[in-house]
Amino acid sequence: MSVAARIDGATGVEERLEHLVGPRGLLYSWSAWPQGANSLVVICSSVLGDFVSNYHRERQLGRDLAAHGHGVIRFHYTGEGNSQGDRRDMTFESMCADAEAVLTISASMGYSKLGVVGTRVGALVAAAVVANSPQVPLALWEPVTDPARFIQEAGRVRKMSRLTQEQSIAAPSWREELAKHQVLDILGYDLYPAFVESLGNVDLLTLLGTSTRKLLVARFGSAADSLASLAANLRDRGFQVTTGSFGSQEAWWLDKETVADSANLITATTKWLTDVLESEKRP
Amino acid sequence: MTHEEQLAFFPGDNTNLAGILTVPSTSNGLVVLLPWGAGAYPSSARNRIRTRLARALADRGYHSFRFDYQGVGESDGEYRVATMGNPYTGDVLAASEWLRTQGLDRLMVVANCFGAWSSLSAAPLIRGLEGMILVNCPVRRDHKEVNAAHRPWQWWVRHVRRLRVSKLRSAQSRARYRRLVTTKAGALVRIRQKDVRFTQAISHLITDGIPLLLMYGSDGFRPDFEAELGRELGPILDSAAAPTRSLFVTERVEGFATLASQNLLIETVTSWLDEVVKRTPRPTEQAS
Repeated sequence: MSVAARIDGATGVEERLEHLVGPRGLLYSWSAWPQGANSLVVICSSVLGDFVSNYHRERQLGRDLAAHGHGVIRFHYTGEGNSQGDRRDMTFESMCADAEAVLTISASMGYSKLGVVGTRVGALVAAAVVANSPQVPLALWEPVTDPARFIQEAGRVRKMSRLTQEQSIAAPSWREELAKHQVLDILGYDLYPAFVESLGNVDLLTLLGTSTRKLLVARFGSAADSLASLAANLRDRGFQVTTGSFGSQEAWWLDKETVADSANLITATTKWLTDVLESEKRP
Repeated sequence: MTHEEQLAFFPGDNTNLAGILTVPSTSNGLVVLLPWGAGAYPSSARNRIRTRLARALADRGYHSFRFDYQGVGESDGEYRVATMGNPYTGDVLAASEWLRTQGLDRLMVVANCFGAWSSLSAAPLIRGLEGMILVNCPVRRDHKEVNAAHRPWQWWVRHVRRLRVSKLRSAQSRARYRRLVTTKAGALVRIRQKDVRFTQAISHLITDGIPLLLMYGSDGFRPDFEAELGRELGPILDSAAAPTRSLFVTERVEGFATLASQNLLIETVTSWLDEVVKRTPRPTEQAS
């Protein structure tokens, strides 16, 4: 277990790099602790290419939330990033167990209000771990509503990459290849059967359940997609849903040297969480 | 468990940088610094390649240190786009100096892409340097310039049409456009820009007796490196003693965008470092 801390000279906010104890090993985390904060926001990242593509936005969001007086925790799942564990063993259940461990640690710190942010597959994790706490507001960035599509998208990216490398795209389907080799190479990210199978019966609507809560659904780019119908569906169920479109569509599996301008997304998310958490009565 | 990991904030240029020191359970006394390519990514890099490399090195007794550049990951500061004229030299030096404060003063560098270029520019000032592996190191042009040189006219016409005066307000943008145009013009008339920085830096390291491995895949900066080998660099490398050498592999190594290239990296790095260690007299032998 290791901890490193520093105080930001400009804001006075304490930042910590810390190993948190997860159910299957140590979880790498970054956290920020503004003085006098009474609210804490936990950020549930995505995994694989999404984890890398979205990292800078989550970094910016964490710092912005801290600058607005919220405690913040970002962490890496077991088998992802700098945490312990093997990617082979990573499943939706293991991700949820990690997030629950972080929430338990958060709860023990005495903050009266909690908010959760989930990005892409992390939105599924976020929805699952606060299912029984309808008072917790959820901000979802480009949530994966249907995990089957997430995997299919990975398969398409793989096919495109073969095309650009002038390889045959008449190769076996990703399902056949995964079954045969027990691992799929998606532009250098390893996808294992355990992870794919674990997402089989998961969908965001079911996870969100019927306990109405406050939700922010942010999508990247303005193209009409399933997120609009998700928001409409949730409103019909009585959820208080705020939606917004920000920036341009993200090519999730592809590395980029430039950083997309996400200022509007960060500002809107921080403002929404701040408004919602401040409007809550203390328990 | 053959290692533990220590998290750290350490001082950089007017800012705090973040890093992870992987500590082997049995140390061979060497620490491997891992400066990686540009891009606002976590210190684990694509598919945890830096994490996996650090842990594979720990299995062999090496400490290793992966860190975030300024403005990236958990480091403080503002992100800046990488250009060859403005490498992250300060961050590499800050990491190497921090390692000395931890009692780790025998240092190897395994660096990739823009991290390799930054390490090469920092090398003369890195104390205790005992070896370097540079993977897909830029030679005289960065990614955008290499790509622009090979784009067809239609691409150029399309981008000139999109160009707005506002984009030319910053001196950095103007310099970038100037380099792109010069690169394209150079490619058309087959004139190679004279840039001796890479060759001079390699030459200095060889003169100082620092073992070097220059690894290139089938993509990225390999054509520029091969062109340089055909000029002054070839004889300089030929004159160097083993284990210094260049290594060409058939895998695409740019960004390590295949699992095969990642596995190849780990195998190559561990075996070359072991080769250097075998050839290097131990401190007690040196003393005697």
